[in-house]
Amino acid sequence: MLEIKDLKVSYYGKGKPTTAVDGVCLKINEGEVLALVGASACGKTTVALSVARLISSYDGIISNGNILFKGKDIMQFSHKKLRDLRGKEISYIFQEPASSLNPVFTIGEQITELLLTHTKISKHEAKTKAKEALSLAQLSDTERIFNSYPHQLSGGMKQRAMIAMAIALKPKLLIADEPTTALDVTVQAKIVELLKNLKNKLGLSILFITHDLNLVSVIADRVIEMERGRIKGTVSNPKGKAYLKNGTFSSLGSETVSINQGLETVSTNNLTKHFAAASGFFNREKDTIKAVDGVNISIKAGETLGIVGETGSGKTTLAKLLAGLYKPTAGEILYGNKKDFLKKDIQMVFQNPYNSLDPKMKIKDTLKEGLIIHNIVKPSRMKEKLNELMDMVQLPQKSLNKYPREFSGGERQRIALARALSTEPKLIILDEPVSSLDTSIQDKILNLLTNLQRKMNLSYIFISHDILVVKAISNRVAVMHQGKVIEQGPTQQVCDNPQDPYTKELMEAAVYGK
Amino acid sequence: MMQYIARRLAGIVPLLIGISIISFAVIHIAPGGPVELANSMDAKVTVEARQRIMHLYGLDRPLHVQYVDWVAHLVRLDFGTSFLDGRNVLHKIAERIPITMLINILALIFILTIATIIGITSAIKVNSFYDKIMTVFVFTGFAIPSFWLALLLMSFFGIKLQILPVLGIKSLFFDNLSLWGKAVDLGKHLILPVFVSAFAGLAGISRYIKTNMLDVLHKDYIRTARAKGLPESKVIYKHALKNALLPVITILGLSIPALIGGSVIIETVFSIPGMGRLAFEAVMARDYPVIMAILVISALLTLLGNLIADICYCWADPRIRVGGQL
Amino acid sequence: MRKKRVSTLTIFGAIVVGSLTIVAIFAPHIAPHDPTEINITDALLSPSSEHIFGTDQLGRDVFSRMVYGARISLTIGFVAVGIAIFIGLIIGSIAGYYGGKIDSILMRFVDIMLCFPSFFLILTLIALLEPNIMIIMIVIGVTGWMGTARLIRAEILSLKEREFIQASRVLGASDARIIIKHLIPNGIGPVMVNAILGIAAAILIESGLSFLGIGVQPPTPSWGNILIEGKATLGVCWWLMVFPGLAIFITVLGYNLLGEGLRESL
Repeated sequence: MLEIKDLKVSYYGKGKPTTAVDGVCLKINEGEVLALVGASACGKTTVALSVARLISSYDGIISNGNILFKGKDIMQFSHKKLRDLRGKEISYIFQEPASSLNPVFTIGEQITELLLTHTKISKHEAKTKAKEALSLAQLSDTERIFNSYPHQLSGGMKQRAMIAMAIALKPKLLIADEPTTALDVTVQAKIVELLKNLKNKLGLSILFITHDLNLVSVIADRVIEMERGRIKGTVSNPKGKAYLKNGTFSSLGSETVSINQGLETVSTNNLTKHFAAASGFFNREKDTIKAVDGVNISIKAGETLGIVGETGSGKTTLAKLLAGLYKPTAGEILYGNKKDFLKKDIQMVFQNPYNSLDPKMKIKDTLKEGLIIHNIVKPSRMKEKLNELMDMVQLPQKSLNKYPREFSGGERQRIALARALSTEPKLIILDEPVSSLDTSIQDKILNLLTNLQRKMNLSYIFISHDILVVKAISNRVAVMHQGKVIEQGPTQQVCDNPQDPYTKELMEAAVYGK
Repeated sequence: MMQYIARRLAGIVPLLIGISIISFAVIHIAPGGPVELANSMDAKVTVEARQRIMHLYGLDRPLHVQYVDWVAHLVRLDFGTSFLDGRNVLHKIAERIPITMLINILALIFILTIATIIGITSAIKVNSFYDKIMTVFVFTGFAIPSFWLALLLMSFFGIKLQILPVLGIKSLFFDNLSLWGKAVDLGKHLILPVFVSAFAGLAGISRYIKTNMLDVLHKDYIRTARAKGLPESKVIYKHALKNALLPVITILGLSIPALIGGSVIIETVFSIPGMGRLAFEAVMARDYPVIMAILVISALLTLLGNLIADICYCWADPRIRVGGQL
Repeated sequence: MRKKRVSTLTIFGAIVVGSLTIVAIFAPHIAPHDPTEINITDALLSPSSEHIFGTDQLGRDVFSRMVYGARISLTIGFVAVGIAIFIGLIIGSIAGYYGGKIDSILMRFVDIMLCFPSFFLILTLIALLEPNIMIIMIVIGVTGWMGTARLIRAEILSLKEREFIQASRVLGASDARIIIKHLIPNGIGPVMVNAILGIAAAILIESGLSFLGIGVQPPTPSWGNILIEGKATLGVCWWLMVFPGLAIFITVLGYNLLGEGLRESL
């Protein structure tokens, strides 16, 4: 169906051209699903966009190669023939359905536009066909969705709408560029199922691009890995592999982490936080958002409590409450048995490494802040302490004189960790600390965290939506949903033997594909 | 959406109060009060006469009493009588507003059309020679003083080439012309003022449109549109354009005070009998009822303009017009 | 980590601004004649080697008047913008940092002020007080702070939620420390750009006022009031119209280019 030979693509932004793809060859047969995996910036999206020669809109030039679709070389096609191909024979779905749909047109308008561009049918027929496509994508109530605007649909529904649009003309090849990455875990599984279903129904060939190997094993017939613009090789057995590590695979979470018998450091009692909803243009009544609703958790010294949940479950609000950034609407936080705590004892590492360091301050000044406020060391010992902190997070000491922009995401998280450690805390709250990082870096940070914990008897509250990461690092786990903790207990128990139906669904989605 | 309009209208009330307070305060900031100014040149006016005048106009009462009284008249659309010629202020303004409005509306239309064309073509051809020329043009528009541009054009088209009239809004023989002739004559007189009025705004808005358009062209839904096989013209003029122009509605609303303020200079240079020139004459003559009235009316026009722009925006943007999630 | 190349236009802007500042400072050394020296016999001469920009109705040398005019215009621009930024920073930071009712009230006030066409307001205030340079500077400043206020408020609002500010709070930093060490250094950029653009705007306003006769009063020279004669002699004495206008144009252009260039590199 599709054969790519010696593809070479470069980007011509401002400055020198950069080669993103260098001599890539791949083949997809009829009715086959080929998964293309690799770390970020390895070139997989560039390959995807090049298939229908969309890359020229993004300052990219295909400098070499043949792209054979059904035997004919697309590189020779005129613009008109190319446009005929797009949407009709070769279709795309992208990562962010929210931004991939035009916000000022209804779903129906966008799908019928596609149909009317490529086929000579009446508007009425196009409308019917569009609704058919919507139901093929497993959307019920097609009439309402047809007349809705994208912002009125949830993430999962938007992606289904995009899929409906992509298959409306029954194309031969579907290119899916990270179609599930931006969706909640439970929804991801359903979308992959849908794609599998459609492949069988319509005899689709799919080029499936992702960095999530678990999903891939469900749907892909073959898996190819890319690295730095080149094909690295076929992946023979993606099942059971958890992370990419330096080009090979490792599996975290194989050792069991036992329960700590130590003293309780922090616990909460009916912790609640309500927000008044910003009244929308149409909403006269003030809704309250119950971000955190009567939460009871506790954590002991040297222990890691993992908190999992999907977006909107309240985990970040809980983190901010514990760190003292919000005042509870009701309930209390206890430290040992007291109600007050020293700021220095609880610190936090945030999710976005690109936002958590002051861009105008050198690293040493960022780290000094905590030391100065709490008088941790005498000024004469300041330099020594700063060096110590850098060593703890395994960064070179000369980093102290640099600015945040000179560091990568992983390095910035280390710096953020060093900052948290600077006040010699007893508890560190980690809010999705590795979610923005590549899987190869995630490993390193997680290892660093466990080492530090052992050395310094630190407690961690580790928040994440990635169940496998939480499982690998936590002694106990609490599952949050709509502001409440619906289940908590030792990691093994909650993850492998969940009691609550929501937890069950969550855990199943997490291991989907294993 | 009706609820939104209702809420916005309600929100205007404090603004109206504030506008009236500031307008009132501005006039009374002059040392000695308005009568002093009006009569300060006239040494023959004795102290008693001054006091009598002040009493006549109620200017010897405490400030807050004067304010309340003034507002009470305002809401009945009674702006008082002019100090200069004793005529009803509202009438004086009403006879001048149409020409100012005409010039400003024509200018807005001119700005909209040209700026959209420039903005969009510059965005499509970004970084090309055309774009660079347009950028220079835009910066010129920002920097050129309107009165200087007026003088330059007047001397070139009016005096050198003699093809356009330079002053006023009608020629001497206006009344003898046919209806069509009158329209053409008016048109000829308005070309330069409208152009000068529009020139600065043109720069700002075309730049804004260009930035917006560039932004939109990089969005994901444009990529989707191309992936659907749509012709490039549809991608740009259907998918991109609507999104790019949406915020322009609000900006247009915000340009209104600038246009009204600019009228002062333009009408004075071109000798056009509009509200701007009335304002200038009133200020020079210390005709304080007229000054206060113009302050209030122009502020009101701005408020109205913004309100209309906001409502149009709400109606145009489906994310606001149609509610939340299903 | 790419360094942003400074565009040629920005450099042009910087050169213009720099040269004008020098001219303004060293005016007495640059002007060949006394700008207020009246010489009726030499009235309305077109440009020559003696008077490179010609003379005006009272025989005064236009070039010298323009050189001193630079001093006047730039001074007014700087001081007016200084006042505007000062007021704007205070109001905007308070509104942004404390939020809530204070924010609502202050922003309402900003909205009200923005309803008035500023040029007309300035005109009224100056005419009612007295058109001297001090008043002009204060009035322009007092009517022009709204943009800065909104800007700094927006900066603070967005910065407040950035994670590094939250991290400082978790570390235990006081409000003062956060404002001084984090918020201001990060938020000041756009305010500086605004200031430069503001100087350009102030110069335009002042020259407009002077042109209408309600700004800088003769015999004190201002580019705007020289243009009054330009209008009166329209079509005849082109030098009285072209040179002052060109000066205003190039100055404003220079500041705009510099400001925009600075904005690009932020």
